[in-house]
Amino acid sequence: MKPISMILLLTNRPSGQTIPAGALSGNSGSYQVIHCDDPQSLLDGLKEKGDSVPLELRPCLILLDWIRPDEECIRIIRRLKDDSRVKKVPVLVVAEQSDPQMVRQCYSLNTSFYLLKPADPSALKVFLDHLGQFLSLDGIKLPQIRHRWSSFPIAAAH
Amino acid sequence: MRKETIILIAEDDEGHYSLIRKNLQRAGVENPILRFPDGQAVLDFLFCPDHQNGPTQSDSYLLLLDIRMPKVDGIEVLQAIKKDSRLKVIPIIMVTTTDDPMEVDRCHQLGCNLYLAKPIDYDAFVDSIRKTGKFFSLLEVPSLEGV
Repeated sequence: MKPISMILLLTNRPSGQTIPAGALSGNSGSYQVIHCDDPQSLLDGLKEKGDSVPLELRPCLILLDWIRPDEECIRIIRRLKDDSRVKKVPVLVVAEQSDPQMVRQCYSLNTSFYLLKPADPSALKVFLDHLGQFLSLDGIKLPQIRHRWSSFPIAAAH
Repeated sequence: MRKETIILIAEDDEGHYSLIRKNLQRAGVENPILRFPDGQAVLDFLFCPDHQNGPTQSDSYLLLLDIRMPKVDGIEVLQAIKKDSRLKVIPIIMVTTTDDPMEVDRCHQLGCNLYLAKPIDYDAFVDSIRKTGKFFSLLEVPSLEGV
């Protein structure tokens, strides 16, 4: 069994419309999901603290759940990939729309995957099932993260 | 993932290749699949515009890449693709028997999109590939044009 690891879920969606934590935590509860609906403040806080951040949390995967990819989403990916403490952490973008230029830009910035989230409830259920089952695979090997992040405006999702 | 996206599999072991292809298809993957028996062959395909049936700008590709391969290994292939401004958008999934943390770290450092260790157990291997195939149906993959 995998040790419990943390997924950081960054979103600009209204409360209650994000991917449910249970769908990401894996069949065996391999992941703890931390939810943040103010990503810019989180990243500003990290920048201010530099390497001296109090140590509490270690994301092994960052998921951006965005209504539609926009410049803010791209800015966040850039900031994550420019930060030596987290640049290796895989970033998944989940969006309901697929603009080819935005998809290209995300991959160019070293986003691991761009996932198209369906709006239809039954298709969404299948989407969440497939995503959850995939993330629960023991064979997925994530990079070693030696830093920790302090608890800025984030909370464990339920 | 659009059905037109071409899945490239660089895998020297014929048995592993067949198992991967068969179980991707059983998971509902209907995309064209091309196999390369070593790292040099996949580099020839991607980097040589004159290569017979080579990549076209309007197509999109996803690469499953073994590490231990003859001629050129998977790490060198990963490095070459991710350094290339046109090809770097191709998602690369390392699919390998090695799960040495140093190697995992190195692949992520070089920009692999995912590192998937092949389970030794047959049933677990099959399960892993089928779940990966279902995950593929969620993906958007860019074409090579527009760079």
